Amino acid sequence: LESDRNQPISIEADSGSLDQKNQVTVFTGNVVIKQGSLNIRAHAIRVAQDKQGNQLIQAEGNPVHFGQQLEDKGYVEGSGNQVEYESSTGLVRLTGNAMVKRGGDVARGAAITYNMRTEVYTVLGSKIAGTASGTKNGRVSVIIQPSTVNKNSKKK
Amino acid sequence: MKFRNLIFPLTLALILGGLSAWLERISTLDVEEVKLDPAKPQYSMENLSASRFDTSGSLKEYLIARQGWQLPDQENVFLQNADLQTFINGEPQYSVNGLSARYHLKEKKVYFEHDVVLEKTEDNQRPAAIVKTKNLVVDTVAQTAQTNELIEFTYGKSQGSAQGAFYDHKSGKLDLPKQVKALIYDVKTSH
Repeated sequence: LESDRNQPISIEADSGSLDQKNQVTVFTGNVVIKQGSLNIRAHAIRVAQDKQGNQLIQAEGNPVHFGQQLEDKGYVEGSGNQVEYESSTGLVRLTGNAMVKRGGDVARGAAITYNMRTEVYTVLGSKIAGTASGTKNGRVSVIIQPSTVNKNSKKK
Repeated sequence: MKFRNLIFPLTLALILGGLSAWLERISTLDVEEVKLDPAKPQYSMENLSASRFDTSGSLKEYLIARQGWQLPDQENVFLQNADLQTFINGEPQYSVNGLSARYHLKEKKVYFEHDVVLEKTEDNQRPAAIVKTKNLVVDTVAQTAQTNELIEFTYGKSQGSAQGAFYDHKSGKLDLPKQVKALIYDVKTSH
């Protein structure tokens, strides 16, 4: 949700460390991060901030799970062995058994890039991405439900 | 020579003899050091304050305490209701206060043993920060601070807690070993 950005960020983890000089924070062990409707669960999350205040968030897990309520398109959720988010570009990269699901639509591949500003997904197979893919032959798999089905699944 | 004359020198001899005996007595006497009660202060100060200045003459550290005392063991200086404030170029940086503290002279460590509060003053870039815990060991040589107790911290509107903490001032690193919880408000908009 647009309002998520203005909500406080809640973080819980087994341990944490802050490197003031390099502006890097690392949380490790059962990491749960929530901000409004956005929630992320991972084994470890590293947050680095540059001098301009741009943040690079890198999460690792078996896999990393995330989910967020979209403005008017239902709930999107995804998973991947690594998830990376750059605030300066608005790009979210899932690599390693990447999966994104929204309503009845599902995309699987070795790597998925989602542009939060343009809402465009790019799904790569393992040959190009060079990482494991959840699909049998390493190729991309995308299931898009007909809009009638989508409307019904939103009403549920 | 009359006997009476003899009396004078005899008396003198006796006196001198007595004196030398007394002097000898003194010189061979073991000076026995009276052991002070180790549990009782060797000295004690009430409502003390101490200031330290940097090379340019600006105030660097200011310590106040309701009471300070030292035990005969000479190892520790104890402070009650101590409040240490630090400054850079006369500008307040942070303060550390505790109900009771002990400064180990050889180790150069301060053991805050009862309810410690660290406060970082707000400046034009950062909101005020407060850290509370039960006890804290500050190594003034290594410039580290460490506790195994629960710590609670606030930073502007943000807040959090953890079980234990280790802060290394030189490297600027803070480690929170267990049970980290934080609620972070965007510092730019929220303080």
